[in-house]
Amino acid sequence: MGKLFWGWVVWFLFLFALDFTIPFIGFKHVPKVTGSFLFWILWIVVAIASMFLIFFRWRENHDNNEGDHP
Amino acid sequence: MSQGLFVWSAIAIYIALGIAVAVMARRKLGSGINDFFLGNRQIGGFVSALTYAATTYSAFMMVGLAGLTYKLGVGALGFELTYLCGLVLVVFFGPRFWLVGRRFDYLTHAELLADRYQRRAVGIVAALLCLVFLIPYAAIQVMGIGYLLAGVSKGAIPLLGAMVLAILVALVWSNIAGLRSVAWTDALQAVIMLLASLAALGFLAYRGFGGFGNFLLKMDEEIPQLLAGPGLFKFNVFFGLALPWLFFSVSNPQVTQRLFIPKSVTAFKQMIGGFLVFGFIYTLVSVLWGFGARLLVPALDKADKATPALLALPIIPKAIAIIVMVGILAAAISTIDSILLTLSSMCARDIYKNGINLRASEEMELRVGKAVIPILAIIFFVFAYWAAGKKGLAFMIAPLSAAASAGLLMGVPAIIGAFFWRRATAAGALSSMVGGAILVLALQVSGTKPLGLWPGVWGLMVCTALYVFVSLCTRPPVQKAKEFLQYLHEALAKGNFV
Repeated sequence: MGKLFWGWVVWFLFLFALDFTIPFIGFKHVPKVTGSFLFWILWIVVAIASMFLIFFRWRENHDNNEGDHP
Repeated sequence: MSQGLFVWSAIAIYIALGIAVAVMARRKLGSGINDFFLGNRQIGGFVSALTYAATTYSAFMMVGLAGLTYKLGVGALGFELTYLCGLVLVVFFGPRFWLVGRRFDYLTHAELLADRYQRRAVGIVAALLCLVFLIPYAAIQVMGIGYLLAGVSKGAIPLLGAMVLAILVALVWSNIAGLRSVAWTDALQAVIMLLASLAALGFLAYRGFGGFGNFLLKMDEEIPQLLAGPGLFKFNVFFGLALPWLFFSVSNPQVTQRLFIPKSVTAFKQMIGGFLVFGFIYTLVSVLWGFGARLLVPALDKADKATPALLALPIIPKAIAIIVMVGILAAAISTIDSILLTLSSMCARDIYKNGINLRASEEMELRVGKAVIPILAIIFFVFAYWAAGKKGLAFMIAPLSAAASAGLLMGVPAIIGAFFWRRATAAGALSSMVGGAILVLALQVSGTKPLGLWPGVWGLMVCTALYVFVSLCTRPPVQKAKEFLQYLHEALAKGNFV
């Protein structure tokens, strides 16, 4: 596992840390849709975009189709 | 047309459509166990994405999650989106499952563990763990269908009849062509689930509040307590619910088995991408549905009644209410038949072939797998019938689902370690699964939450510690670990996977 793998691991740990802390601390006194509700939507959009960035790089390799059944 | 007849007609159309799709899928059915349980690892990206979505998202979403939002507020959105973000585990582990599945011809994740740790007992215990904890989970789906149909039809469909119907449909669809019929009917059902819920939300927003802008304004004005911070969620409740869900994609066998089925890397990418988009929309719809219920029918005695209560309001046209009901029915049945199929494959491969009869032919193994499907269906039904009769259990869909996921969480260290830790051993895997499961069961049954932490949290800490400690004290399968990890190292580099 290279630097890229660990880089993404750190990034997602950071995202999970935000997930558990920002709404509980940062938006504790914001009783509006623009508080935690909007935060979690934007948070998941960033997370989904990050996942797309990771798997867009994957490519077909026919050696990996070993075990295919006709 | 009476309400009962209307409901029955909609269900009849839904079942007929599903049978037609399943029969079409049967035309592609080949022979052999891989074909029946994995679609010969040749499922396209579109169907893979929709079967992944329909299998993952059950009746829990529009009933349980909407109910949680109704009762505790915006934290329900957070914990369900935490699950969706947990799909990053599929981004990391999915290609690994997919690659070794093809290379070593694994049928289930339990078989992967047995081979990687070079002990059949690991596979048997992993399969038993799934059986113990997935039976209640599947039964909850059956129960949910019973309450939903009985409620929406205003008693025209009795609870018992609805549960029998659900089991029979799941049984027929999983038997027609195995994974192919399940995946194809799942695809149909995923489309029904999404379109029905979107249509219902549209009616709710426009006829209930005059548009989405007003809907959100009403939320600000009338239920600010559900929007501040995580709403009424306490941190330990949020964490206790979110943690099992976070690991759902690598702990639940009906989901991990889907990591073996895409026919190519492109299909795998489509599966993940499609599921992420589906999950985002469906989560948002379910949560807004729960908030809508809180604003329009604020005085319900049970939160899980939010959806049936909302569907009964005049702002939702009767036809849309029935379509939503079919959508929820589809969500539940697509989960039940996937679990049926996966557990029967585990019984055939991990318990029968690798445990009881090592010399069993593939034909015999397949016969056992098919024979187990109706037995499991009966067990699901009996459990659901028993639970439905218990006061207090009936509307506890969300906590019961989380409890089942907490048990399955005990397999996670062994699964993750199999891909990353050369030093991991069979004894470590066995002790973590058995020790963790016993602890979780004991805490669940006794209702104990030491330091306020939920059983899944304690279980994960203890089983991880057991896995590491016992592995360090025992001898690893050096040769297999080397072969397995070396193959992965090379294949991952060739495919540009992380």
